[in-house]
Parts: sequence; C-alpha cells; structure tokens
Amino acid sequence: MDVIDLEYALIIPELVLASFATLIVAGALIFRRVPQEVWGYLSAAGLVVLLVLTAVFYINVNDDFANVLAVDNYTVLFRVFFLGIAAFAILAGVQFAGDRLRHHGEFYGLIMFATLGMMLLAASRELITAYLSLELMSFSLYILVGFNKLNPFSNEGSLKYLLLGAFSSALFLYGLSILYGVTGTTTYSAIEPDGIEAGRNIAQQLGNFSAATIDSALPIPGDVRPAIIVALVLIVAGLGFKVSAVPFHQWTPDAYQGAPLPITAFLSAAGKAAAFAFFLRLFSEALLPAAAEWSWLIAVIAALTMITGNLVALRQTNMKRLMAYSSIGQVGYLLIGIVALDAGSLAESQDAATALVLHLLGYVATNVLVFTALIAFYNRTGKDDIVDLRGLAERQPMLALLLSIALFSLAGMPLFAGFATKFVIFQVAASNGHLWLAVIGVTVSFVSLYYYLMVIKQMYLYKPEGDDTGRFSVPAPMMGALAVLTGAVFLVGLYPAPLFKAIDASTAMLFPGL
Amino acid sequence: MEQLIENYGAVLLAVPVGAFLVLNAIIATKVLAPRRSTRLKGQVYECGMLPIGRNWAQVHVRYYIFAILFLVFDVEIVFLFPWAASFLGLMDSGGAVGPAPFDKVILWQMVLFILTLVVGLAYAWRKGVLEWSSERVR
Amino acid sequence: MSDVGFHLAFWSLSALTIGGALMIIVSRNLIHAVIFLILSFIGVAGLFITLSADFLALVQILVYVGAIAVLMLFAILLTPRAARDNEESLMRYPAMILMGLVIAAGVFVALETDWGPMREGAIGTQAKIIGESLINQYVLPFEIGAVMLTAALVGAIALARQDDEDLPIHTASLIEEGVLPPPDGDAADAPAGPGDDS
Repeated sequence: MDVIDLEYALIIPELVLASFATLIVAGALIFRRVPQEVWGYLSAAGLVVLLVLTAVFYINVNDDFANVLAVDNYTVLFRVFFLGIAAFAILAGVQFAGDRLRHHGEFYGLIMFATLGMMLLAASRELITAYLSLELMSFSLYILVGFNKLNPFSNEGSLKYLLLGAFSSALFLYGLSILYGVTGTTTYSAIEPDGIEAGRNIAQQLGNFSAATIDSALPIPGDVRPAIIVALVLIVAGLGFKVSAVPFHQWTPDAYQGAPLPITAFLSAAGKAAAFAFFLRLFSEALLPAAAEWSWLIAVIAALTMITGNLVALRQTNMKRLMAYSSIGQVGYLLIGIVALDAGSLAESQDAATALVLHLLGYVATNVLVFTALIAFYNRTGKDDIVDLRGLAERQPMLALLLSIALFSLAGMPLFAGFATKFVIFQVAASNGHLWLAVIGVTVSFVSLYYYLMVIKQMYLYKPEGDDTGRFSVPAPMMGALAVLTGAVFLVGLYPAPLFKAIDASTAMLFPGL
Repeated sequence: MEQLIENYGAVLLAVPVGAFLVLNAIIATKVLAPRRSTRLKGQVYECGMLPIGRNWAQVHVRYYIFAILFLVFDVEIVFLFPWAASFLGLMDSGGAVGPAPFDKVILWQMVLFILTLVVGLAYAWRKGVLEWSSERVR
Repeated sequence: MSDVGFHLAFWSLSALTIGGALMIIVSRNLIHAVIFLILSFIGVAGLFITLSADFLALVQILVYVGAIAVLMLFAILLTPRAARDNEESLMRYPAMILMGLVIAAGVFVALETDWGPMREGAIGTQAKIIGESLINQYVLPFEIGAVMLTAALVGAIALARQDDEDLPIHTASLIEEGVLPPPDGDAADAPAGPGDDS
C-alpha cells in the first residue's frame, strides 16, 4: 500500500474552524456566568480573523488534498465568502439570540459547523467528501431551523426541512451511486495525470463514453445513456431540493418562516451559496462532458423556478415568506448560469460560471442586508408581517432607507448590485444560446419589482400603526454590519470590475482543460 | 465464488433448517394445543397488579437521546474495526509505514476521530443526559 | 452446484428484502412496519454477502438492524398512541402508479446499461482495504464524518433535552397562551421549580 503524503497545511482553515466551534460550545457550557453576547462577539471576531488569514495565505495556492479537496482560488473565494456570511449572521443575531433563544453556545457553534460544511462542500472534488460535507451543513441547518424549540412554527419548519432534506439527500445519493456504477470512480477530474486515481475520473469517463469533446457535444451512446440520464435526474432533483428550485421548493417558505430570523438569513444566503458552489463545481469539473444530457432539464427547472417564485411572491403577506419566494425567484436566475455552462467552448462555459458566481455573491450580500435590517426591526417589535413595517420611514429612517436599497437591488434596479449581476447573467445566457431564458428572466424581474415596491410603499407611504409607534435606535454593531453590506451592494453595482476579475480567476480553476 | 460458498455454505444450510424448526413449532402448537381463552389470560401480566391504561405508553425523550448516543458510538466502532485491521497489517509488514508507526499520522488520524466523538460524549455528560434520575443536574 | 447455491441465495434474499419492504407499506401498525424494516435490512445484508462485501454486511446488521431500528422504535414510542397507525390516504392510487413507473424505469436502467466490470475483492479482506483507504486518501471524509456525528449529537441533545433553562420560558409561554393560569402568590414558582425534569 502506498501511503499518500497528506498535506495538512492545506486544510488548516477547516481544522481551525472545527476546533474553534467546539471550543465555543464547550466554553459556553463550562463558563455559564459569562454573558452570551461574549460568545457571539467572540465567534464573529474569530471568523473574521480566520477570514483574513485565509485570504492572505491561500490565494494562488492551487493544490489539492489527496485528490478529494481542491484548494484553489475557487475554494478560497468561497472560504472567505462563507466565513464572512457566518460572521454577519452571528453579528446580526447576537441580540436576537439573547432575547429569544436558549443554548447560545450551541447556537453559535452549530452556525460554525454549518459554515465548515459549506467550506468543504465548495472545495470537494470527490463525491463521498462532497456528500458528507453536504450532510454536515444540512444537519446543522436542520437543527438551527428548529432552534426556537418552544415555537410551533419553528418546529414545523424544522420538521419539513428535515424530512424533505433527508429524502432529497437519499435521491441525490442514489444518483451518485448510479454515476459511480457507470464510471467506476468518485473523483471529479484528475488535476495531475499521475494523480491517485491514475487518470480514472468522472469527467474523463464521461468524455470516453461520448467519444467527443465538448465542442461537438455528441450524445452518450445507448448502452450507458439510460443510467447516466437517471443519475443526472436524481442528482438534479437532490440538488434542486437543496437550492429550493421549483418543483422541489415546498419546504422553503415554511422553513424560512419558522426559523429564527438570523438563521433564515444564514440559510437563504450561505446555505444557498454553498449548494450553488457545489452545483457549479460538480457540473463543470465532472459532468460537463455530459452537458447535452442535463442542460435541457435544468433549463426547464430554471424557467419554472423564475416564474413560480416571482408570481407566488406577489400574494405573500409575511415578510419572511415573501423573502422565501423572492429567493426562489433568484434561484431561477442562478440556474441560468448552470444551463449556460452548456456552450460551444470552454471559454464560454467559464463565462457562464463567472456570471453565476457574480450574481450569487451580489444576491447573497443583498439578501443578508435585507435580513439584517429585518432583524434590527424584529428585535424592537417582534413582528414580521409586511404590514407591520408601516411607517418604518418615520420610526427609523435609516433602516427604511437601507431596506429599500436592498429591495431595489434584489429587483435589479440600476446603481445597485442586482442590476450589474443580473445583466451579466442574462447576457451570458443570450450569448451561449439560451436567449429564451434571458427573456423570461427580464420579464419576471419586472414582476418582482412590484412586490418589492409593495414593501417599500408600506414603509414610506403609511403612518405607523398599533401601540408601538415610537422611534427606535439600532445598536452600533448592527449598524456597522448594515453599513458594510450597503457599501458592498453599491460597490458591486457601480464598480464590479475588481470582483469580476477575482471571480474570473477563481472559476478558471473549474475548467482544467482551458 | 467457490470461496463464498465455502464460507457461507453453512449459512445457506442453516437458514432453511432454522426456518423449518420455527415454523414447525408454530404450526405444531396451533394444531395440538387446546385453546380456552379467558379475560384473565389476556392480561399483560398474569400475576401481580392489574395494568392501568392503554398498553402503549408514551416513553420519555431521554430514551431517544440514549439511542442516539448508542448509534453514534456504534458508527464509531464500525470505523474503528477496519482501521484496526489495516493498522496491524501495516505494523506487521513494516515497509509501508516505517519502523515506528507512531511517528506517522495514521495513529493521530484515529485519535482525532475518536476525540471528536468524545467531545460529543462529554457534551452529553455535561448536559446531564447520562443522569437517569430526575434529580437536579447541572 | 455453487451456481445453484448462489442463485438460491440471491433470489431468496431478494424476496426477503422486497417482501419486507412491501410489508412496511402495507402494515397498518407502525411497530410492525419497523419489524418488517429490520427484515428488509437483513435481506440487504445477505445481498451484500453475495456480492462478497462481508464487512458491509456486518455494518448493515450492526448499524441498521442494531441501532437505527432501535432509534425508530423509540421514535414511535415517543409519539402518542393516536399517531401510531398508518392513515388512509387519498393519494394512494396516484402513489402506486408513480411508484410503478419508477420501478419500471429502474428495472429498465438496470437491464439496459452496460455496467463496467466490477473487481471482485478477496473475501475477508474488505475491512483491511477499507481501513487502508480510510487512513489514506479518504481520511478527510472520515474526519468530516466524525464532525458530522458530533454536530448532530450536540444538536439533538440541545433540541430534545428539556432542561432547567427551558422551563421558565416554557411556563411563561404556556401562561401567555392561556394553558396555565397566571401566577399568583406562592404558586407562582411551583411549575418552574428545579427538578421538574419529566
């Protein structure tokens, strides 16, 4: 047996995060007299330090750990991204957790365990590792959704999320096993020709089947085609559940509504981003040679998701449910990026990947901004219906302004992140031969403007109602997080070039043949 | 294939024989035994106190937590076993790992694995899950 | 001779697995369903042996029959009596048709596909081979598994265990919903007192 030289130095951020999460849980359990805010701020500070160190030490490393984990620029981008979102979610959630939740050490610890799963998920280039990372993330999220355990909505949301999540994991795993049965390997693609699997990997096997490069995109021959199609359908269904694409989206509104607000923010931002980071790596590194077999399927799902998500959002009265359907609509736009991977050349495929990641980052930053503002509002009022936002412009003008900025950005208005990123993704769709998806996307974007404007109307055109109509202030850490996020939304909207360049350098890693 | 039959041939034989014996016992009692059921015979306990309420009581959630703990450490054993099997082999052959396997990470990988799970156990302990009585736990 | 024995084992184990699975759906009593599930698990373990995956068969028995079935039984016992029976469902026939189609598709795929040749491992060495890959290439998934189990354990305990911290807010929420009377005088502390763990 050959003992592989395992370079543990490559996974130090993950090891540190796991230890740190454990220490926070243990610390909160042992030192019970320490106020819970301390653990929250400590966790956020630790995540930020880890973020900075990761960004400094791992850029352009481009290596892999035992051929199961890629430590390339794509990985580093998402490592930094997930650590950042987790830090924001914790910062935004400290006061909320203190007021409304118990078991704070576990709360912060599980957020970090979920983050660990996400970082590994974006990095894995081997199916078993990817599946276990996905489950680490999902398990932590199932628990966090139900963390408000004396609230029946929280229990219901958690249960639905758990049952459908477990079911989708089973579908996904079955798909992976069929893929393994056909190709005989679980590695996506070989980085070096003398890698561990000695060149046997999914991408190469699929390429052999079709006996053609991606340029001709010939269909896969009949003797393995049924199995590959079934495997792809199951994988797409499983991932569809995780990213909440229509028709696998039913759990989303209930889980979002039931979860504690910081967790809703984390789930809708990081959970979705991690699933897409994995989706993109799997479909570009491993499954691209079979693009002709899956692109039509995902195209149909993308169209359905965009239309259903945005239309159903029109009828919502609860802010969390509105954001759930809005996020489903956004998933539709993101799926266009996956569809557009099926292009004439690798360079065009990479453009699609870049557009997808750019929109993902812009969407997530905006979504975290919306939820941070909502948490600030909820901390004061304990309400989350749309009509409860009435007169927010009088009670807390700054919060109303920032929330409006975020909603305009989600609708894709110029100046804000949403416009720039949507523009890029629709442009890629059109140039890669999926113009009809871009047309649907633009059309439903206008529909989405309507329901975002309904919220803004409530904030600006009505007087505050009810017993509690006074002005209120937002605590400084919260305001700081809001300011940073707003800055990010404007930066991506007005000057996306540096971010675009960074993403382009990272997605180049996904196409080894480029 | 030959080896498979060699190893599991006995199992293959034992299954029908065992099935025959059990079915035989069930059918024989059905045919031979006299049946005169009374209300008293239908009780859960034929002696002692009369049972109260329905036969399916709702159990306490702590049983479930114990079952989860058991499951987690069951899975740990599943991983320990192949590790031990290969570890001994590596120590015997000597060549692959070198003269001092303890210098290598192979041991520490399993130590890390077990420690991670021990953290879970320590958490459960500290939370008082292992206390069975309803006395106040910390 | 050996082929006859092999086929006999394969077909009887398949019958056991599928029959057990069918009985799970058909049985009205959830406890019986779990028993049939165990039967099905044992059938799968046997099938693993016919595929020369002895260690996997052992794991199947140890984890699925030994631990997961017990977990399921406790889960059923946790629920009140009324929730323990399978209800009639309006979606029964659509579900049957859908499952029929899925099974047909599965059989079609299994028969039509040119599956790659499987390397038949030597009997009795699987555990060693698995162990070698666990400490070698697959060490990372192995450790992720440990973290996942720990996170799940911590979360399960945090959610399932009703401890002293929860009782005051639980009582407060019950009072708010009108289930408990509002506290007055001496009786106020009684429900929230320590030691009320059940």
